[in-house]
Amino acid sequence: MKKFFLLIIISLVQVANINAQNSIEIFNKANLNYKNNDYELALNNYKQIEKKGEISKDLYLNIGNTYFRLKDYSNSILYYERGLRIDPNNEELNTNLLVAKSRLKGDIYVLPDFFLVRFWHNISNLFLPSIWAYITLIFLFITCVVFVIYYFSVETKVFMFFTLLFFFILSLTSFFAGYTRDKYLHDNSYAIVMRNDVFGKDSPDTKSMDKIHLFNGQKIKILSHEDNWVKIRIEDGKEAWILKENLVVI
Amino acid sequence: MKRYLIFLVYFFVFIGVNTNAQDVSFRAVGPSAIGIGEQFRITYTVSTQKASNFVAPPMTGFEVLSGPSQSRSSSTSNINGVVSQTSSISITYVLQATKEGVFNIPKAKINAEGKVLTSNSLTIKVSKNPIQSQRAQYQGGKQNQIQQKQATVTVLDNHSLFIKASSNRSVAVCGQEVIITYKLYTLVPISEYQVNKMPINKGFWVEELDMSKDPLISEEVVDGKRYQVATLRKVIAYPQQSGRLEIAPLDIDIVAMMLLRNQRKMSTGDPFFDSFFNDPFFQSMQSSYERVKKNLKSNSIIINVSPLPKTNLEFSGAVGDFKITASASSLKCKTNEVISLKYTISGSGNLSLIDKVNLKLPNEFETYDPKIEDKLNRTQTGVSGSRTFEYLIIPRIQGEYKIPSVDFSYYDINSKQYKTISTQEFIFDIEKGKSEMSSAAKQISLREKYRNRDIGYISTDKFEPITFGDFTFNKSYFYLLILLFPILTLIFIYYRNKILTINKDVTYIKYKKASKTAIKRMKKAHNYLVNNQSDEFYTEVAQAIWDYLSDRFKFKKIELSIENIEDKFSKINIETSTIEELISLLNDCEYVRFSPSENKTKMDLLYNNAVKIISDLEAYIK
Repeated sequence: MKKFFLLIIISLVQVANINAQNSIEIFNKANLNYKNNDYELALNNYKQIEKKGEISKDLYLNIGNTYFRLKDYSNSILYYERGLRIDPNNEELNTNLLVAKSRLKGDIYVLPDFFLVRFWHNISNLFLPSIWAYITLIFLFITCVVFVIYYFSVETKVFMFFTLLFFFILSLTSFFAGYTRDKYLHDNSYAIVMRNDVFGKDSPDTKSMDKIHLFNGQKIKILSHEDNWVKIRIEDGKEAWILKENLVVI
Repeated sequence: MKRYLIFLVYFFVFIGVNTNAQDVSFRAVGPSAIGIGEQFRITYTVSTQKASNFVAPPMTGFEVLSGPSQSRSSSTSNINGVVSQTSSISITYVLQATKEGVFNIPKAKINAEGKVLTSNSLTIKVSKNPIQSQRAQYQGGKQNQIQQKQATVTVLDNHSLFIKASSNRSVAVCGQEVIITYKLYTLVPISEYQVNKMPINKGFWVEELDMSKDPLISEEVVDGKRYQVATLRKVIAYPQQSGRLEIAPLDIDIVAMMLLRNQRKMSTGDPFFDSFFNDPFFQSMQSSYERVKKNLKSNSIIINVSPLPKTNLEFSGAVGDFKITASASSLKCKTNEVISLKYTISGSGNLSLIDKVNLKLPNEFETYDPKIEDKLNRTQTGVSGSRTFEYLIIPRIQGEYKIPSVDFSYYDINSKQYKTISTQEFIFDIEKGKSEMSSAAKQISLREKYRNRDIGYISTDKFEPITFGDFTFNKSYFYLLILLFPILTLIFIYYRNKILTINKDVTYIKYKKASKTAIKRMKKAHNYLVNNQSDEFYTEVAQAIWDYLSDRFKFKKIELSIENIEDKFSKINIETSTIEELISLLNDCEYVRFSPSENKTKMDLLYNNAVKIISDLEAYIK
């Protein structure tokens, strides 16, 4: 009986392995196609991996590059942004995103974030949420230990108090950093405009007045939904309504 | 006449409706040409609802099939509080042409808003051949006849199905637009078609005209046969070189629906039902069609292109009729701020071939490639619209600068000569601004920096799908763990305190009772003193003091030594004299125990010292 279970476990592990092996092979094949300038084929291969639900920042980078080579800059931006979700501080993705954005047929003044917001995002982007979760727990554990020492100490009470405060702030910070990162990772309120000459309207109605001119590849934030209309905010802060079909969520 | 009377009653009903006074129009609309036997419609429209006394003109040459029928429409809109109302009444006649010739329908009259209005008169030409543009409105018998004719075609030859390419001109100048239309003529129903090869046209720059997905269907008569005509493709071609240029034929595959020869005709004997069931719609149900594939090629077109005359002008290749305008976002600004300079070329011609304007900027300005925005209107008659070149310029040094006018030369197609048009000049007043670039200017220069860069290579690392981990922020057990830590700590502290209080209680009682016990013992020692029991006396005094110290100052039994006492007492700031007295007392007690003496005075002194020290030390206990 034991042997039987062992056999099942081994075969299951092997199946998982074969699956991963398969993706690696497809990935390498796609890379080769890319190298031979056969971008359509490469894209097809990469998409095959993506369809299986296996994603990574490398995969998104390569898909973005392939789209770039095919001169489909809005899809290229979409995939770079998707990659940046996973690894926000990745240098290659950030550079390529800027290069792709410079190829767009319109430009927009991006309202810069408040410097504290930027600072906070830089901290929170350091690790993936699961790592932040472990860090939080470690700091929380230390905080608890220090608290006990502080509670029973007689002569070093002041010193222990500040130590306690220090670790308490550290655990709070790592908790919220992780929380922010987790929210960012699963945030689907950003989207890329996928059509040219889309007009943002004043209200969710085709007869409504045109308010802003959107262009292919522009990044927007989705504020609310109404039937097949969405309220959006573009990067310079203007708000308008557009049809959902014009967007692809990052 | 009875009809009219009923009609007038309708009008009076609507007199009560209040409309805003506005210009009232009264128009008659009808076809200008019609075939014999065809039905058509004449509509009189008056743009108010306060109308009465409609006087219809005599309609000689036509038979009134129905009418007058009256319909009214009104709409009220409220825009920013301003209520506007539009309403109209239309009176419609359905007529049939009975005779050939040109007929005139005179003006009609109506009373509206207190005035008598007259409509326009209509002239209708009735010809022998039916004009089918009107046909679609009436499901008359004619339609069936035509489609019956189509259905009888059983052989696919070049007469029943062909593509014709046509151009709007056969002689052109270099750069002049030529519109080429590919039309499919057919007598048989077509189920699908596929373009095999887009023709490659050497010497032409070709732009597709946007066509709707489904081709436009119309009808045309060629050699007495009525063809269904679908416009497949329409392009604008700009000749790029002179000479005899050929527009290559379009090559498409067509699948036609051919009626099978041995079809069983359905006949009911009733001519009406026969024509009804012989309608292709029913035929497709009752009899079978055969799908026949055929390859078709259009004719090729020869266009004679004459070269442009030679010129010394700086010529960009623009042919047509153009205007140029310029605008600047601001004429006064600070250094390192961004100015947008727009040059718009509008008109008709080969706008999309103009790739730059001849802008000469002073060196003190930084600039980038222009952003090109097109507002092109590609219609059947050619391309018109505008192309805007937007230059973003950043002044680097303060001062006053003149940007010269931009000259734009083009070949005027109408007057057949070169023309040069110019924009206005700009004079910029640049003040000294911040030394740093503004945030917007920074973004633009960053963007421009990346415009000339290419993306990096792909990642060739081993593919490893990312796992976000189960243990993360959207899992409830993570939050449970976070709560668990403080709870465990509190539980730990609670038990630890309990144990401590048990220990503490013993020492506390001892501490409270220490002085009392000491006094009791000293009394006992005093008894020994009175009875001259020196051994017992010394032991009792020494024991009393040690116990007192241990309980009252919380020394553990093991820690109890003269050095420790000295140490601790000096720390809690007990006077050195008291400490010294205590130490000498303890030493005396020790000493006497090993060399007993019965000196009473010495014992008296020691006893008093001990009492004094205890009371002294009591003073330090708070």
